Formats: sequence, structure tokens, C-alpha cells
Amino acid sequence: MRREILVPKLGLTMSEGVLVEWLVQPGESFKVDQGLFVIESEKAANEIGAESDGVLLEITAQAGETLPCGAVLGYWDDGQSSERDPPSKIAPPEQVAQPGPEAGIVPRVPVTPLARRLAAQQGVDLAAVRGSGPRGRIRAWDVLAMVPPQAAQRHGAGDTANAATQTAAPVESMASPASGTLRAPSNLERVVAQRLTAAKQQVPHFYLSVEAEMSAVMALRAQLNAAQTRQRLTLNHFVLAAVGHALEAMPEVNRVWTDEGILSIGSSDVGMAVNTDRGLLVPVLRGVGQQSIGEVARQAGTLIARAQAGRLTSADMHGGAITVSNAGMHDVTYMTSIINPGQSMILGVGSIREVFRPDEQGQPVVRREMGMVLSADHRVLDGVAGLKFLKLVVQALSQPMGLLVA
Amino acid sequence: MTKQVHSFDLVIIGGGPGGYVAALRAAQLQLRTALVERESLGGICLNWGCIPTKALLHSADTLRRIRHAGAQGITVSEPQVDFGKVVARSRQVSQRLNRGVAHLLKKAGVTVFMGSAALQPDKQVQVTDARGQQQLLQAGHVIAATGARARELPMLPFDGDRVWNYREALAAKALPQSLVVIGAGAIGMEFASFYATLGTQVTVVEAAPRVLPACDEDVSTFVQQGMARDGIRFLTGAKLLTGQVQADGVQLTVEQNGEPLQLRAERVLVAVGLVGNSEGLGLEQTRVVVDQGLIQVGDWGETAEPGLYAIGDITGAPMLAHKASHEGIACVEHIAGLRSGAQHHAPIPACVYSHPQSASVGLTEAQARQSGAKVRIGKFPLEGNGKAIAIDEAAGFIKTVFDEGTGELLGAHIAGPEATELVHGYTLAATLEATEADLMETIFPHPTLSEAMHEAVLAAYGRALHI
Repeated sequence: MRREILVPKLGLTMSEGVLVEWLVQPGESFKVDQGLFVIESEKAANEIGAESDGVLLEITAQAGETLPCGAVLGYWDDGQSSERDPPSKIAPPEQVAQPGPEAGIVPRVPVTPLARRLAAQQGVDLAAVRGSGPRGRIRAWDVLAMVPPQAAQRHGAGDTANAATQTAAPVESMASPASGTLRAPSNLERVVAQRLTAAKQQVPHFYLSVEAEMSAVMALRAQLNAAQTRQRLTLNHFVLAAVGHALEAMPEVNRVWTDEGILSIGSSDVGMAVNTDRGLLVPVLRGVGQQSIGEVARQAGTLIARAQAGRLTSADMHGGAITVSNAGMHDVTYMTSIINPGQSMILGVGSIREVFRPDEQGQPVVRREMGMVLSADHRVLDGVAGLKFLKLVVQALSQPMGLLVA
Repeated sequence: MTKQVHSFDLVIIGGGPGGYVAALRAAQLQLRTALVERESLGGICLNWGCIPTKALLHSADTLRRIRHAGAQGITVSEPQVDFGKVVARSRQVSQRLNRGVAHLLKKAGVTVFMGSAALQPDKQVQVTDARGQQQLLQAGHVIAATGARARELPMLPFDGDRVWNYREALAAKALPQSLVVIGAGAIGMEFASFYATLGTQVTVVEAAPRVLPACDEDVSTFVQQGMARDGIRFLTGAKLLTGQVQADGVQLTVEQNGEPLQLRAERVLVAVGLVGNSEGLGLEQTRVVVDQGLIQVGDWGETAEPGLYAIGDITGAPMLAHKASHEGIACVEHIAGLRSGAQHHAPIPACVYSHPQSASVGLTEAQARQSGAKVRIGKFPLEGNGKAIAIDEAAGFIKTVFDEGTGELLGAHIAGPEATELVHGYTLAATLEATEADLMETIFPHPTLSEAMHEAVLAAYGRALHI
């Protein structure tokens, strides 16, 4: 039933009020006690809640208007049917399509002046920085979090300012035993910690583990490395190539969950975890599935060199749905990894083990198996698709000749 | 003895500027909120601290202005001070605001329990009122905002008569002939200024080498000189050795430069810092870490005990009302799930309302240099400010500390008229991370004291105009 919304009389002396703002827009529904509008009497501004659930039909007074007590501000529907319910005199408000993020339109990111200057000084790409301030404003410490610790020390004063005014001990001190030493994490460590925690907590991980038979890869690699010296090939190059080829064969898994929607990635890009003095970095190889093993190796070599030198740009680390994290050199059978924030899969690669497996006649044969665990984001992938993808990787590794050509 | 159990989303212990502000924010966020206060809503700040001292100091300012009215062409007869009325007005101001807080809490729907709180297992809080009646509150979360109290000197315990803490100093029955103030921090300096202006012979004893030891050294020097001109005697680098309360006064021995010195005064005000009110809360039964009376907390006030938080003075320096309020809001928003992660700590301004006034935000010059930053210092005297001369208040200066490399405003220090009303400008600039370029670009209104803030920025880069 259509009902009026009136200016309330808040106290004996109130004769009129100023409508400060509408908290609900026409066409929106609301719950009981939810704030509908704010009205200001001479004493204070008051948020006025709904008396029951309903829908705001129309507003007849605009913010800023001064109205006497009892004046009509607008109309709402209480959801109760009524024979006498007159049709709304005013047509329902036009549905204005909310402009979504469009290609080519970059939303304005607020940046503090100091953060802007620091970004310029430290060579940080502001587009890659996530702002921690109100309305996502990028602040100085957000920029500094992107800078390797050695460089960040040049700008230590800001931290000291906080240290000087904040004597409260960090929360870690409570968790740690009375003995032991405590140190403040660097900005980079803090950001990495935050992002990993967020990834592990917010991304619904599931895991699939398989073994890949690597005898063929090992033999092919030995042959190729013996035949030429221009490009030394590693097992990881083959794994990267196999993942790239699997992505080309199954583009439907090459996608990530974003706040705006599920983003499909057009190119078979593969991230590669690189251990550096600055911590683990993940540069992304481009178009791996369309490249020969030699081209993959060259791309990987360039990125690793840049990573070790601390010269990766944010563009180098941007994008891709999957990362290969190879721990094979560290004598580990299986590694279950946390998905890199912004991606949907990570492939943890273990060491190659020589194991006996029964053949078709039940006789033991030696196999060279490499354990692989795929961690995947269940929001964009299910177990069937994940396993199919993983099998493609295994297959590419068991018959690696296909990786030689683009 | 009846026991009723009331259930709340949030129970806040302590109704000072940390606790009551946290309660108001919690109510805005639709949390069912209870506030437990054992004495007066508004806490020390409103009842026995910030606010009533400002009322007293305003009387002192009025008196000083009247005395100097002749210089501005107003002839007045010698003003008379009705000390009882001065104190009574200060108390009335507190009472009025105390009622205001009660009203705000009621309007917001916060349930107030008057009594002492003790934590019980399973996030229950037992409240015992003045008559010994007990009530049990079941809390989803608990915030301890119990504040701090005056630190006592073992050789000179408070006696409520000759040896004062801030409370007695706020509600004295008569103007003392002479007063020794132990401690030249903000509280000591404000009372010294008030009593000296009204005619008390005041001596300030400070163990540190300078007054206002937390302030920039230039500020300390300026304020001490200004107050010395008003007749206050300062003994810095002086240690209190003994104190003896006698029938008509207090006899003190202090040591300065290795020499013992005898002081005698009608009253002594001890203002040597604050200690946290962490006793009697039942914290021993929890995992909360208490170090020297202060509760150890994380970014959002979280303690080692899940569901138990602490904010304000009880968590440590700087013990300032506005810090407590800010922490209270942040803590409640964290509890409500609005904010998480690491918190960016905003710069906290600090004000001293003595005459001359001072206010600061961020690092002192010495702190900035110690941090290893390459700094640029700007200093502008108020003699170069038209408004300051027009209002006959040209004593003072403004000092800025910038990071040479980045132009970050590391600190700002104001000494002189309305310093405490000006400092928010720099606080805002620092919080919004304005650089020297933005401050230079800002148009300051003419003629105002704030133009000196602009000049102090320009001065750091050799560009001050009116000097």
C-alpha cells in the first residue's frame, strides 16, 4: 500500500527541519529500522528509520529543503495489498544503467602528493599500487611497500614518526614467547604477509596431485643440451612450456575471479616463481603455449635475470592465471602452494623420484616421477576441469616432442 | 545481592574520551553497546583534566588581557579575582559537558552502568555499583578504556591538602600564596601558568634539562622564557630529594648541578606523569600482557586475549584524549568488521595551554635528525605576521621540519598565540601527506596568524617573504 513519508516532530520545540539527505533511493527496498533519511532539527541531525520493511516509491523533497513538521517528503510501499491503493502519479524512476568498467577508461585513483612524489623517485608504477587510505587513496606507505627494503630505508623518517608517537608494542609481541627477539617486518614483508593471508583466507583453494613421468623429458633435454650451447634448457622450461600448451588446449581454465567478474585471459601467460634476495617474485611469461621450448627458455632467462637484479617492472609481474612454482631442486616430493593473489591456479612442482611401478604384467619397472600439486580457485574452476587441465600438462611432459615447436 | 545478566555485542569499560566516543561509534554501527563508568562520564579529560583546566586558563587569560588593556587604549581599574568563582565556573563547565555526554549516550541507545567493572571468564563483565549491587554483563567483545591517573612520588605522597595532584589543583579552595610544581610537562606547565597569572609565587622543578621535554627544544626555550617573564621560577635538571609536609606548608630539598637546594611552599603540585589504571580489572585471569601498568595492544587495540581490546591511556603514551578517541573509533570499526589489516597511524598533535601556548605535530628537529633523515628546517617569527602585531601578541614562532629528499612534512611546532588552534592545519597536511609544494600552493587567509604557518613552510626552502 502506498504510504506517505512525513517530516517527524523530534521534540516539543521542533517546528521545521532541514532534509539533509536521502539514505535510500526511489525503487530501492529497505528493512525495518533501516535509515531512510536524515533530518536536521535546530538541535541535531537525526537519522530516521523505516517503521517496517518496504520500498521507496518516490521522493518529493530534495536534500537541503527546509520543511515544516508533518510535510510530505515522499511515498513508500509497505507491501500490504490494498484495494484503494492509487497508482503512483509519477512513473517509476528510469533504470539508469550503472556504468561498468569500460575498456579504455581508467578510473581516477586518488594518490597523496607525498605518495606521488615517492613513486616517481622510487620508480614505482602507481597503477600497480593498491591504496590503503580512505576511498582507496594511495598513501606513502603503500608506495614504499612496493619498494625493495634496501631502497625503502632511504625513506625511514615516516616510520620513525610513527614510532615516536606510537609506543604500543606490535601485536606480535603477545604471540611470541617471553624470550626470543622481535623485529618489525619491512614494508615489503608486511605487504606480502597481508596478501598471502588474504589469498589463503579469501580464495577457496582445492588441490589436485598427480605424478608426471619425466623420463622422456630428461632424455630429450639431455639431447638438446648436448646438441647446442646457445640455450641451456632446464626441466622447469619444459614444465612452463607444458603448462602453456595445456592453456592453449583448454582456454576455458585460463581465467581469474575479480570483483568485477570472471576475467578470461586471452594469452597463455604463465607466472614463474623466482627466489631472490628480496624474497619470492613472480614474473609472468607471455604467450608460452605458442612458443617453442627455446623461446620459452629465453623469455624465462630474461625475467630471472631482471628479478635477480631487482629490475622487474610491475608490467613484468602483472597478469596470468597460473604460476609454476618449482621446488624440484630442494628434494621435495610434493609442494602444495598458496595461489598468487590475482591468479586462479598455482602448480607446485616437486623433485623427480625414481620409483618402481608394476607394468602390465605386474613386473616392477623404473619410472622417473615428478609430483605436481595444482592449487586452484574453486570459484572459477571445478575439480573436473582442474584435473583435465592437469592431465594435459602431464601428457605434454610424457610426450615432450610437441613442446619443441610453437 | 541480586545478579542480573544483560547481554551486549560490546561492553566498554571506562567512560572517558576513549570509551564514550567508542560507544557512540559502536551505536552508530548498530552494535548493542554498554558502557561501564565508575565515577563520571567523560572521564578525567572532561571532569578533571583537559576541559576544566581550559576553563581556569581562560580566566587567567581574561585577567592578563585586562591588565594589558591599557596598551590598547582601554583604561581599567585594577581587576579583582574572585578565586572561588573562577574554580566554580570551571566545575560548572565540567558538569555541563558531563550531562552532555550522558545525553549523547542516551540518544545513541548506549546502556550506561555506573560502577566498577571486573572481567570474568567467558567475556563476562561484573559491574559493582557504589552500594555493592552487582550486575553481570555478557559481552561479545570488551574494550578496556580505563585510562590513567597521576603518578605518585614515594617521598611525597598525595595527601589531598598540601601535596596536590591535578584534582586538588583544579578545585583549590583558595589561591595559594606559593606553589611548587614538580614536573614541567603539559599538566605542570598549565597549572604553573594559571596560578602564577592569578598571583601565586610559582616554582617549577623539572628533572630533565629543559621544560616540556617532549617538545622541540626551541619551543621549550621560548615557553620557559615567556613564563619566566611572568614571574615563574624554573629549576631544570633538578631532582627532588626529600619532601616534608609541615603544618603550614611543604619543605622540599632538590638537587641541581650537584648542589642541594631548599624550597618552601604553601602547596606542592606533583605532575610527574601518569600510570595506567590496569588494576582490579581481573586482567590476571586473561592472556592480556600488562607491562608497567600498560596493556600491550596491536594496531586495532587487540590484546592477547581474543575478544578483549584496549584503547587510550591504558595502552601507553602519548596519553592524550584525542588519541584515545581516535583509537576507540578504529577499534570499534575493526570489531564491526569495517577495517582490518595493518593500520596506518596518523600523526597525533599535542597541545600545551600555558601562556605562552605551544602545539606540535610529528617529529621534533632532534628526532628527525636522529632518524637519519636529511632535514630542512623553516622558522618564522610572529614579529613578521601582521595579525599578531595587530592583536599585540607578536611573541612566538612557527617551525617546520621537512624531509629534504621527499618534501614530507615530518614535524611542525608552533609557539605563541592560538598555537593550539593552528596546529590542526599542519596535522591535516601531514595526514593527507601534503608535501612542501602543496603547502606552498595553499592560499592562507589574510590577515591571520595562519599566514605564519605558510611562511614557516616557505622559510624551510629559503623563500619566506615577510622576514
